[in-house]
Amino acid sequence: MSFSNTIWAGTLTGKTKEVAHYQGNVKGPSVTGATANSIPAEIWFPTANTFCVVFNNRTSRASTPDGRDGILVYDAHLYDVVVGANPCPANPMLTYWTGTGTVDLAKKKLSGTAQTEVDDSPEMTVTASYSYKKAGSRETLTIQGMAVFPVQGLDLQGDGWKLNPGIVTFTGTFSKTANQVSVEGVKQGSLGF
Amino acid sequence: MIKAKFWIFTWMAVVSSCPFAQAQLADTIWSGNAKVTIPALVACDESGEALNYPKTTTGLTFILPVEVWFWDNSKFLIVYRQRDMGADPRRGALQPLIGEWTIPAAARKNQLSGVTEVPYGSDLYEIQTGSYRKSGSKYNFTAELRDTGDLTGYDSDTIFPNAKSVITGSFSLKGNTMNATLTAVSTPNPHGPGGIKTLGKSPSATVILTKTGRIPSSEGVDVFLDDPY
Repeated sequence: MSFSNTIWAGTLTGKTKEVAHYQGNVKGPSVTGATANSIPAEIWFPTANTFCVVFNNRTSRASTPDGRDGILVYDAHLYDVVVGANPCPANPMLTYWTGTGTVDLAKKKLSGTAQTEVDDSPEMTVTASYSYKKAGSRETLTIQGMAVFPVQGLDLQGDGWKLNPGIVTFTGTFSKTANQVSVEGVKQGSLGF
Repeated sequence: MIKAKFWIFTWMAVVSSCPFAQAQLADTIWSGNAKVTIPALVACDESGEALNYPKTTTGLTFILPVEVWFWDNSKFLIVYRQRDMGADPRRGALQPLIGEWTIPAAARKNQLSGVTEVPYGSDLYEIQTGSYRKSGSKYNFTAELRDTGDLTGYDSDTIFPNAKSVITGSFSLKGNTMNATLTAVSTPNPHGPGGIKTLGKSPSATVILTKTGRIPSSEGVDVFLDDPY
């Protein structure tokens, strides 16, 4: 099995320990133990050893009237890269994305960063382990890992919300689709990036 | 004769103790930090359909700074100390959460000149009630927040007839300390079709409140008003 040029669709579940409010740089009330369940996502593998995570706006907003038609969502942009390698550097809509995403086939691990051309450093780093299964024609990836947010900013008054610690642990299950990165990655506008 | 006077005195003391227990709550304000547990939440779109990014958010626990205003011997209001939740300092110090909002005349002080309605909800478009009564060694309470429909003449997008939230619970008193627990139930879309709703087990809260030196009749209701911009 090769990951090269494949797209996998599924859901992620992310768990936080504490989300705290700050005022004047002083920690205030917080929400503990919040878990976001079944976040629709896709894992794209541009090559055998690179990956990125992409939100498909049509899938994630499929329950909205706009989302059902696949229009008027995020100004008609279908995909958002969340973390990992640029899926198609040749696509002018993606030149801003400078994140990285590598697959360690031997250790079955994914490691990636989320960064754009205006960021001095990654906004998020992700490490995960994965396992692959094939049952009949159905191919499944199960992943487990953590996303780290190294810098969490507050506004100029020191107000805002922070993850404490700046970590989200996650699990996810994904199934291989018929879509290909080489086809989806070059799309622009209402049906692409 | 002395024995008879003793028993009469004792009887009067016993009888008077019941209303006295209620009277210590009338026109008082209690403050504390409620621990709120929400088992599951889901966001909805404008048609009321559940969104799926994420499908649900579960296991939320948070501290909500609150006050309980006992207007009189039977009516109360729960407010939250929104500045302690990070609200803009120009916002009112307090905001009504749920409970009686038909303000007794005695507490209708410090209202802005010329304003005849209290700020926030009113019987023009929603019902806000909150009542409590003694039951044995505890007090039981219930409060409701329900949209009635737009009677203001404005075609508001934020009024949803029959959207309703109800809390029920009990509290006990020990000196100037109050221990309370409550659960909340609501209609399928308590904040309208585009809002957030809970799923499954009802949200609940526990709180230890202490009596403050402030009283509703002198505090007035301007404390709920935002600063004019």
